[in-house]
Amino acid sequence: MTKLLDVQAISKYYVHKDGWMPGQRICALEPLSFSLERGETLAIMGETGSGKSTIAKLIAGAERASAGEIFLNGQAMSSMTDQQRCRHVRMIFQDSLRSLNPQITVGKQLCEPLIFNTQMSPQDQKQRVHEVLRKVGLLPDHYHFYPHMLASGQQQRVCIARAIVLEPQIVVADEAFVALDPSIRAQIINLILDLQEDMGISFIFVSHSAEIVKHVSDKILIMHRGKMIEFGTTRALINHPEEQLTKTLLHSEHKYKVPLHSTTKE
Amino acid sequence: MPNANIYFQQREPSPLRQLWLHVNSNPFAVVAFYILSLALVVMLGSAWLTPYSPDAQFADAILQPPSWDESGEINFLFGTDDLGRDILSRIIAGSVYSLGYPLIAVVIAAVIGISIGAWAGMSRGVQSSTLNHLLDVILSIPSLLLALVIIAMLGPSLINVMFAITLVLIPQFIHVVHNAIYDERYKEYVTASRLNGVTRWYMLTRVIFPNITSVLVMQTTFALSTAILDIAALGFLGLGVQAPAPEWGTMLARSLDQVYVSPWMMVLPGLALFLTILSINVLGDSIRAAIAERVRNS
Repeated sequence: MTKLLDVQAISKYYVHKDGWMPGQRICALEPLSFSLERGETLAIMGETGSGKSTIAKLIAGAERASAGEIFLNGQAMSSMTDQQRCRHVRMIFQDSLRSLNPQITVGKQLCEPLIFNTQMSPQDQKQRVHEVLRKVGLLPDHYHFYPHMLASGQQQRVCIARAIVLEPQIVVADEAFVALDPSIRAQIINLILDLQEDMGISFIFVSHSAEIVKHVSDKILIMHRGKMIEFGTTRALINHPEEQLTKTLLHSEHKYKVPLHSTTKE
Repeated sequence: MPNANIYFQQREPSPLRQLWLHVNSNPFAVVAFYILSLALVVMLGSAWLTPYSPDAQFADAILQPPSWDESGEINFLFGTDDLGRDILSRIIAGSVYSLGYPLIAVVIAAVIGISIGAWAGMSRGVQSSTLNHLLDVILSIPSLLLALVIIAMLGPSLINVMFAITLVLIPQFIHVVHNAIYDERYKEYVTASRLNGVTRWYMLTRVIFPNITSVLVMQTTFALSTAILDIAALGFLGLGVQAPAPEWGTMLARSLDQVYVSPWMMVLPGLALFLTILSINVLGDSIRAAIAERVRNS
């Protein structure tokens, strides 16, 4: 049986062009390979600018790889159109408000993927959107809301609803939980875990937070300056990290502990 | 269906409605809006609203002052001109030339300019630049001068003036639409829509267009005030609408001879022109302020 997602030596270069001179090639991602099974959760960690978001965007199809190939169920993704791809892979963006169209109601935006990827009648589409809104903990009433009327946690839920409305196999979340406060973050992570149990989705998510990664993921991928420096199961990486960076990232919460007697009370 | 009316709910208005509320809170903009609406209604109903035919001459009432003057009469509300024609009828009938024709020119320019601009905005690279700068050479010539050149070649007439004004307005629309679409195109919500697998046509009309309508409304109001001024100016110079037609600029030019004897012949059409252009500019300006306000808040 083929793997759900098989990434083979993908890399990404940006050409930084300055005036008429031939551009300078900037490497965002050096060739890397990994694979993911059905229902697994992969966390991508790394410092800022290490190419985590680039991987997420390449898998979701928001950008094209400069070289290499991504296989989905054994089929090359570069030969798929946006329509074919979005039935299998969906993305949750970093900034939920900016990734929602400000002039269109939430309901219409959630119908959009259904119009172009299913043969549902308008009533069925509406029905489906209502179901999905309930699933992510919103009300069918939110169908008629505009994005700016919602709180940021609700906007995040709308983005999740948009990602799961087509019942995809993979959902890619690009630092989707950074802007949320801890309680809402916990709610949304639990929501994602529930959805994963119900629908058998594979999650790929980019995160800074070691706690979330330990709690949620099955595998971890550590990035550093566009290179993959470590890839393995969560347990292996926590217990036996080979690189110093892995150790730092995964145990970061201990480093910030303030010594007990250094408060301003003195 | 929203199950409303059970509890009191405060609903936040939609983005376009927010814009309207903001414009509505400015009294000058509201007054301008009403003046403009009145002018449009008068223009559309001019065939039924004129008390007399604009060309009818009353030999017994030549140079009659307006009705509020001591020697004025109520059956000629705004007085008559040196040929005994009713000025109120002429101003009402003239709104077709001075407001209706510029409106048509702007609509034609907007349709052509927006389609080319949208095409340029949605394509990339050389194609985009070519379309964007297609008519840029026209921008280098002032609109009045271009109209004069065309009139010098084809002779003075309203059609030639319309042609010149439309031609001048098109590149402005192209640039505004191209820039607006270009700004929106790389925002995340457009990427998100692309990943929804939408077609390019849907992307343009349903995803991007609702976000640039306010820019288009603003550009249209400014184009309209330019077009009105140009048609009136060419009429004043005797190069646009020809003499017996009651165009406001032409009426101003004719009244120059009798300006000391009968100032109302000059003041009244001038006032009509002034109020129309002022209200369009005030409205356009307050829409722009409202957009800026919304951008700052979001």
